[in-house]
Order: sequence, then C-alpha cells, then structure tokens
Amino acid sequence: MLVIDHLSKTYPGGKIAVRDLSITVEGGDLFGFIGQNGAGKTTTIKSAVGILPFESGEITIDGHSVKKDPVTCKKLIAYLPDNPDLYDALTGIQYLNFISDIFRVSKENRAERIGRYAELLEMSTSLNTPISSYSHGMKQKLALISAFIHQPKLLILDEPFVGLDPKAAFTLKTIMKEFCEQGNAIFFSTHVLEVAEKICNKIAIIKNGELIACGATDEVRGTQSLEEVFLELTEHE
Amino acid sequence: MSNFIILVKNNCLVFWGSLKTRKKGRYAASGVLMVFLLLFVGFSMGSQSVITTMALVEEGIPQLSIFMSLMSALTIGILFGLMRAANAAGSKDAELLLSLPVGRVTAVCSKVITQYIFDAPLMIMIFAPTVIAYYVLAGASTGELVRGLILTLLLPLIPIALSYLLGAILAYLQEKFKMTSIITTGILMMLVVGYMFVNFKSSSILAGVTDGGNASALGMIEKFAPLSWLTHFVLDGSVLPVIFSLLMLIVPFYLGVWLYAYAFGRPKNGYRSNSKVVAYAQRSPRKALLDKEVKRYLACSIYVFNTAFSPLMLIVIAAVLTVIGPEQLISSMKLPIEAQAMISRDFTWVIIAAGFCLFPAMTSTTASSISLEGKQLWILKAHPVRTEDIFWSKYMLNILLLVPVSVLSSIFIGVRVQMSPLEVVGFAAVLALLGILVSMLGLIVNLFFPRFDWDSETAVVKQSMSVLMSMLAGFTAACIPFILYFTLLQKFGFLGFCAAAIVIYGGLTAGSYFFLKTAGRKLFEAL
Repeated sequence: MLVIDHLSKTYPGGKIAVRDLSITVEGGDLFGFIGQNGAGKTTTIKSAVGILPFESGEITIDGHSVKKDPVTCKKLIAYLPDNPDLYDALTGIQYLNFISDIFRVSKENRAERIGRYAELLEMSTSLNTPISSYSHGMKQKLALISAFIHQPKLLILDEPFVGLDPKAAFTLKTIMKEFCEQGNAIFFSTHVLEVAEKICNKIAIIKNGELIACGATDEVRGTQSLEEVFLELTEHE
Repeated sequence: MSNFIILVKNNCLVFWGSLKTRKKGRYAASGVLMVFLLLFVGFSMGSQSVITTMALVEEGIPQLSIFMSLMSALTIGILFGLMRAANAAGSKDAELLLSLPVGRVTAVCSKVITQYIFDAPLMIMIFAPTVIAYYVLAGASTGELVRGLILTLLLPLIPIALSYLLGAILAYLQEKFKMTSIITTGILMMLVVGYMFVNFKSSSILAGVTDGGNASALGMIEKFAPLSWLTHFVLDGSVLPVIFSLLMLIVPFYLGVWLYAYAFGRPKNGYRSNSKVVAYAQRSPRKALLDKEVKRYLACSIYVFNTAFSPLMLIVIAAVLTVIGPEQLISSMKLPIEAQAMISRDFTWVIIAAGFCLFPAMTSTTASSISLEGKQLWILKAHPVRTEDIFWSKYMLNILLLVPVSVLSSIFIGVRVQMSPLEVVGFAAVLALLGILVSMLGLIVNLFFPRFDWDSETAVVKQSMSVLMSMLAGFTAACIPFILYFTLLQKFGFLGFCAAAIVIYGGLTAGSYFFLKTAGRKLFEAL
C-alpha cells in the first residue's frame, strides 16, 4: 500500500531530517510511527503525502509514485496533520462539502458518510457553525470526518489523538481498527506509546532521521513493554 | 523595572519581531525602510506645515493653519481607527498575560499605551510642526504654544477610542449574527466611503471659503463644530472650547478603553448554530475551489477593503463621466483654450482609457492569495487538486471582481461619448484583457514572494512585498500601450490604441498563462 524506499530529506541550511529511511505498509496494517520530538516523523509523513519534496529515495502508494503522479496518490489517501488548521471562514459543513467536491463524492454518499462520522464523533450539532469558533479538538474531529469522506485506502495521520477528549479518542481507535480490518491501512505517528502498543500490528521507531527499529509490534517489543524498548533505543547512541 | 514597562517593552519587541523573517537582509531592510519612511514623512509633513503657515501669515490669517493642520491630523487618525477596528476587540496574548502575575489593569494599560506609541508619531509629525511654526512665525503667545503641544499629545487618543468603540460593536455583532464577516466588511466599507465623502466635501468647502477672503475663512472655522473647539483650545484657551475639547477627547477614549478592558481575555464567542439540518451541495472541484476563494475573500474585511477599491472607483468614474461628460472633464482641468482646442476626440478617449486602466492595474486579489493560504496551505497540498485549478480559482476571483465592472463601465462611457460600436468593443476588450493580465501577474508575483508566517492578514494584504511588487508590475504593464500611443501611434487614433493595447495585453496574458502552467506550477509545488 505505502512503500517508502530509501527516503532522504535535507532542509535548506543542511539539516538532515530523514536519512535513508525505508518502510513498507501493507493492506490491513495499523502501523505506528514513533520517535522523539524532532526525530523526523512529520517530515516523513509530509513527504509521503506529497506536501514536502524530497531529494532522494522513492515513495509509492498502491504502486503510484508520489513524485511522478501526486494527484493519483492523493486520491487514494487521506491525511490528517498534527495541528489541523482549517478554513476559519467556512462552517464545518462547508468545509466537508469542499473536501467532498475535491474528491468528487456524490451528494448521497457524502450525506451518508458525513452523517455517520459526525454522529460518531458528536459533531452533528456543530456543522453549521463557523470553524473559527471551534476548539482544537473540534477541528481535529472535523478533519477526521473529512478524512473518511472519500473512503481512502490509506490513512496517514500525524498525532491523531492530540486534543481529542477520551470518548473521541476511544471512538477513533475503534474506527481505525475497523478501517484496517476492511483491508485498508493506516500509518500514523504518535507519542502515546500505550495506544501504539495496544492497537498497532506494526511499529517503526525513528531517531535523528534514521530508522532504528521496524517490524511487527511483538517482534519490536520482545518481552519488554514498548515504553522500555523505546527509551532503551532512543537513549543509547 | 515595573511590570508595566516590561509589558510595553515586550509589546514593542513582538511588533519588531513580526517584521523579522528568516533572512537577515530583509530584517535589516525592514528597519531601514521604517526609519526612512518615518524621516521622510516627518520631513515632508514638517516642511508642508511651515510652508502653509508662512503663506497664511502673509495672508493675515495664521489661525487657519492650526485649523487645517488639525483637520489633516484628524483625517489620518480617523482613518487609522476605522482600518483597525475589525481587529480591535480583545488581544491574542490576553490569556497568556492574564495567567502571569500581572494585574489586569496593567496588562490592558500596556496594550493601550503601546497603541498610543504606534499612533502618536504620525499625528505628532502632522500637528506639532504647525504649532511650532505658528508660535515662531505668527508671534503666538507661550500659552498658545503650550496648549498646542498638549493637544498634540492628546490627539492620538481619537484613533484609539474609535477603533476600540467600533471594535466592540463589531465583536457584539459577530456574536449575534451569522455572516458577520460580510456585515463587518459592509459596515466598514460604508464608514470609509462616508468618511471619504465627508472629507471630500470639507476640502471643497475649505477651498471655496479660502477663495472668499480672510473674514470668510476665519468664519468658516466656526462651521465645523468639533474642530472649532479644538482650534479655540489652542488659540484662545477659553473655558467652553477647552471643556468641550477635553470631553471630546477623553470621554470616548475612556469608554473605548473600558470596553476593551471588558473584552480583554474573555473568550470570543462566534456565532453558533445547533441546527442538525445540513446542506449537501455538489460542485465540480474547480467550482468548489472558487467558492472557497470567494468565502475566504468576503471573510477578510481588510482584503475586501484593499481590493474592492478598484472596481468601486471604476463605477464612480464611469458614473461621474456619464453625468458630466468628457467636455466638462477637460474644462475642469483648466487648460488654456488653445490647448483645449488642440485636444482631439481620440486623444480624450485615450486619456479616459488611461484613467480606467490605472485602477485595475493597482490592486489585485491574487497578489496576496497564495500568502493568505498561510497555515492552511496543507489542505491544498495534501488533496488531489491540480495546481492549474488552484491557480484558476485564484485569478478567477479577481477577474470576476474586476472584468464585468470594467466592461460595463467601458460600454457606458463608450455610448456616452458616442464611440462607434467597434470602438466600444475595443475599449471593453482592452479593459477586460488588462483585468485578466493583472490577475495573473499578481499570482505570479505572489509565487515569487510568498509569505506564510503571518499573524494578521493585514501583514499580507497591506504590507507584503508581493502586493507592492504586484502593484508595480501591473502598473508597468498597463502603461506600455499608453507610452506607445503617445510616442508613436497617435496618428492611428483610438482604434489604433485599442489594437495595440489588445495585442500587448493579450500577449502578456498569454505569456503569464504559459508561465503559470510551467514555472509557476513548479514554484507552487516547491512551497
């Protein structure tokens, strides 16, 4: 589904954000991507989504190159940034209609999907309200609803649990599991190791732009908790 | 150092920091530009005041210099207040300040004083030189000088009061009504247009009265009640004008600051709807993008302010010319009769066309439309949208705003001055093409000079390099056919001018379109 092959990304000024990183996410995977602040998680995610250009390596989504065929790739995925800045000038429903139009979702399908996810995330009564009055969590929920509108094959989420209330976080975990059970995949970054340990079938750990562990959760973790493994790997050079 | 001083210093540092960009050169350039502007404005205002006072001393009516200078200072002050009103209620860092061990009064006062520090220099530069020149050149008393200087320091309270009062009203409306951004923009537009009208009227009255003699000029001061109080505050210091002046300056200021303090730190409650009934409208991606651009445009008062000026002026010019006719226009220029006789019909039309081309060339929504994506740029970049469609939606907004008005205005004027149908079509085509060209040029310039790290839309819409460069590019492009006409093509008449302009604007538009499709696309993708 998602293949990141020897990705390297250097920012202007010479800072190497990601170095020779390779990850493969397959259909059905719920893939957790963890690392310290500034390790290169968001850079990797933004490169995979086609927001950030990268100088070497290749990223493909369902066989399509992000570099060569970005629009096709973007049709297959949905992306949720860590801090979703949405169009404040629009109401919630206007934003969802905008995203539906971009993905050419029919009126009937968008009504059904928006209605379902808005109900699940308790946003139904806020959709006619301007986004400018939303809290961070509400913006996060709205961005989540927009991510499911076109039924993507791959969800790429950057810190999706930040700002969500406990109920919404639980709902999201349930939605994520169901989504992957249908053969789709999710690649997400998180700092909440308990969540990653509990719901992910695969995990990758990144440190200073380099992958230091990657594989099935049980293999990465071994007999220890994910927290212990993470601290051990990230503390030692 | 007291908390108050620390907060004021911090407010100034935050402002200075907002000018900073990652590039050191631009940071230094901003500083140099600001100092240069301050010196330039200060020098020109000061010298203008001295010249005016000298002239009025010779006429025997030096008192009028105080009156006129007050009018200029208030004009600038009121405009400042109006332009700032939309963002005046509350403060972005209010919660942070209130969480610190700093009193609420201290925090609010620091904000008000900072605003005073920003407003005061320009108003002082307008009024203080007149007061000093009046004292030196007209032999005024020390009392007049002292009262003049006191008034100089009190004048900046007016824009602060106005922005806070109007800001509180707009914040109230935003809480109570849907579509508040449009309401806010509408109210501010009406106020600014009303203000321009009053300003124009008072200037013409002033010009008429000064032509009428000294007694009439001095008598006229009494006709402008609030201004006459302030003038008498300086000139004679009599009790009633002093009381009225202080009331006029201090009461609105106190009320405005009180309202500002009341809103400081309180959550801004936007309009909320609990309705579960939602409308699902299906459009093509292009239409959805354009719709988003329109909503974004209407939601930002300062954006509308800055860019609706051109179409508005086109309508005004068209209306004025339709009513008075070109003959009246030429006679109002007060040219010698021989010169008027030499002006041909076609020459007049080209002059009219120049007037019509000037405004569309000066402003464009596209000059800041990429920058205005700001932190939301990820939405366009992460979704399957073709860059061409993004560009299309952006320049189409400006085209929709400009071209229909331009075409209709040109048709009205063409018919009024009895152009032939072919000439009317040519004139309309010139204006339409220029509208399209300026829209594309603005977008290209913004791709070269994007700015995403803004806190206030004003920084992008009014103060960005892109807007400045776009204005320059639009103006230069618009001038080319006129230069050609006046140097080489006069013998071909108005139709010759139209043909040249169509070829030039058309060629530049085609070039711009091609640039956007190729290099422009790459520039956008690299953002």
